[in-house]
Amino acid sequence: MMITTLIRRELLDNLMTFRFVVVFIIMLLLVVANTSVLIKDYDRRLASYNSAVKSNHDRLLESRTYSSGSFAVVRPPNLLSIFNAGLDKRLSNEIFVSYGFVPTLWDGQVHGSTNPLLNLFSSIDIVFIFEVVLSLMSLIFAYDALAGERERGTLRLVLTHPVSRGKILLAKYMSAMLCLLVPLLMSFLLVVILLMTSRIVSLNIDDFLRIGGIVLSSIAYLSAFYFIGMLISVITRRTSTALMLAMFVWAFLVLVYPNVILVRMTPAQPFQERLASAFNQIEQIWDEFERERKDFLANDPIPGEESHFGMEGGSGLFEKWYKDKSSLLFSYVAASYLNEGGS
Amino acid sequence: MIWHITKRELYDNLNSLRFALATVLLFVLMLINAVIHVQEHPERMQKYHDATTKSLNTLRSQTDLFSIAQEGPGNLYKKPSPLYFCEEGGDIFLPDYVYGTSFVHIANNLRAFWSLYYPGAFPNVFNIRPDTVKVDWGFVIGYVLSLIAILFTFDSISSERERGTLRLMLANAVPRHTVLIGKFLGALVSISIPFTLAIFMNLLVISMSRDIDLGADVWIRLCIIFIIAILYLCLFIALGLLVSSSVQNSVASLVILLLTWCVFVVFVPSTLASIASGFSNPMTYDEYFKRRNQDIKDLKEEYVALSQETRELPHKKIQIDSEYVAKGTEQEERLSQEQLNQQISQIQLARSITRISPITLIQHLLEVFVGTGFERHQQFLENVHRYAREYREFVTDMDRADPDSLHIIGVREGMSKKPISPESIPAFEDTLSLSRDFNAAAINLLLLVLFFVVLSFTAYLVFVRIEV
Repeated sequence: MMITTLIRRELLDNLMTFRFVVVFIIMLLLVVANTSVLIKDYDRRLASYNSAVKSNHDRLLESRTYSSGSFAVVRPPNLLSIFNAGLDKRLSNEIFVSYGFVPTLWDGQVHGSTNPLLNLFSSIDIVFIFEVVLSLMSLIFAYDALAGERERGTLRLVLTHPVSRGKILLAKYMSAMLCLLVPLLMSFLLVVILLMTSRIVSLNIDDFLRIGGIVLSSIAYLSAFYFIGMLISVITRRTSTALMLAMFVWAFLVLVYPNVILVRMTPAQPFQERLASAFNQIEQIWDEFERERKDFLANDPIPGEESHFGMEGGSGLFEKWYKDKSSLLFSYVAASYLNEGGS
Repeated sequence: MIWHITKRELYDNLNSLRFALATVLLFVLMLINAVIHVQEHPERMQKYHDATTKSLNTLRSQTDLFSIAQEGPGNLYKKPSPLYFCEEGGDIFLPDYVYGTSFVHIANNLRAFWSLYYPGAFPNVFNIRPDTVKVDWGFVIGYVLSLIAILFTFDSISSERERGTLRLMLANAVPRHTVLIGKFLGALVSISIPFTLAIFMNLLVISMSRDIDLGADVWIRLCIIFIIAILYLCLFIALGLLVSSSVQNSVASLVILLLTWCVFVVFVPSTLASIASGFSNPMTYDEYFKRRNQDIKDLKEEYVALSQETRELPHKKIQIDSEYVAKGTEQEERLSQEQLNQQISQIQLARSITRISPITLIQHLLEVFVGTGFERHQQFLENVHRYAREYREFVTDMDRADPDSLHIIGVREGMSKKPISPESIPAFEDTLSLSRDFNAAAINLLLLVLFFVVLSFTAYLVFVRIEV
């Protein structure tokens, strides 16, 4: 029974504070503003996906011989990328498939709908708002949880009652989480409502389960930050020290560490090497083809014009780039665009 | 008296935990930045150097005027900035080259001349690691320094009010504005000390490296960047003092400040950019290819029809060939230029709208003075266009200088057949100029000053009117 009293006390304390009101309002504003932007963005990507599918379909209908054509496979945008964009917008979403050509990772393309320069602006999603704002808030709720009571002397008062220290911590945690859950759940609710009212989007059971998963992991994230704050609050004597420590820990964990740690993980070098070895292999195959062709022509009983057996992928292009390794693969991809105007 | 208050603030701050933590954070970040730059910059320069030599060699391997005129200059590369460590400016999302080659076949044995193509850089299509912000000065100043400014100032007035020491101070014959200025200077000096030292250490590490050579021009740019950083710091200190003097309780002041910081520094730039980029729809690549293929098809049909008529007249055929080569080149160049212009104007709109956020201002300013990012890319494109004109003029001049030539540019038979000396072909050299940069930076700098003046004036008004 003691624990419910404790939780109620903490909850009332927290709910009445100024910080709670400010967090609540800012969270809702940010979430509403960004959701509408993100839905519009999703709408654009979906339209571009549809037009890509349509143009590919048209091309498929136009072509007479499938063996010589090259056809695109397009990846649809993910609806839940509104919550977490991940790599959905960035990675390639179109790949060309044709006879005699094995697509690899770097043959993927971004189908022609977006302005590539828009990548200059960092993209945002709902989970990012939680990442930044709610982690900050759970630290602000936690930093004075114990240090403040010790300063004011109320902790001693509470401990005179027959209540274990663990229960006090638990009560503090429960009440703070209840407080933080209000803006979190409200904003999820708002996002879902906005999604359901927009006519382009329809959510199914699967999506709801996934959203539930996002909510649960957000709660785990919040708890982790609350416990970090509580740890700081327990080990420091003064609230001002606890606050400074909490803020710098936040800056380090959220702002600095994720950026610093990934800086040295540039995949540029191995990628270049892989590319070079792949090009070498391709070149060897072409050399072999060239040799066989020469052999065949030398032994051919009927002398005629030199033939490439239609293997070049845009006849003008290949001869020009044949010597240049780096454009070997590009010539295929370019040929698929240029074959109408190129040859 | 101002000096007295400043000194007191300074001593208070120097002993505090936040000063130590801020110093450690700034030093670690600046050290990481320097080490990465020392490792990466020589590679970057080498890559640029190799690429330009290669493209220059291909250019100079041609000796006859016709193929020079047809094939074009090849790839033209953007020169990396020596101050890359200050601001990366999204350079990986911008193409670092433009290519001038000839693609369009009008008929058998007839190809349009070269034109400029602007590759759409999708550098991250293959890159599956998460997005990160590059740890450059722009990051340290924009995010970390502004946060530190807030953490130093949120309690400077509110906590004195809480403890009652403000009343004590004002009981002496000290005018209020003196108190405010003293506090402002105290915070400014105590943050500037670790920041300046961290920058010195960063520059020391970088200039000690054998492979990196910072010229006089670069040091001037660095000084300007430092001044801009201090101005940005002042802005956030003024914001801190404003909120701190208008709120009774220092925790409330911190919460307001942190949320303002989050909204303006973290969220406003990306949200506004996505809103603003929805206003215009630049030509998509699908549309571009569709139009391009249509144009080429039309051109071919026209040409075939005309050449049927003039099959018997060889000198007339040369005229028509030359005309269609010019036409094909022109329409190709116009189309890619049109697409590029639409893309650029979309970005420009989004960039000017995001200027509400001070972090965007400081990033734009740094980009301008460092020579990375979007402004720099436009400067590079201007250089490329100037070079393209020069190159085309070179071809016509060389042709005009030869008395044996028929002066029909576009066809091999109609052009000068004299060998061209490889050295006389103009080479592309990308340059950075400081005077141009000042113009680009002026508006951003004025906005930054304006924000600072408005914030500090409001802080003054609020502080004068509060009841102690």
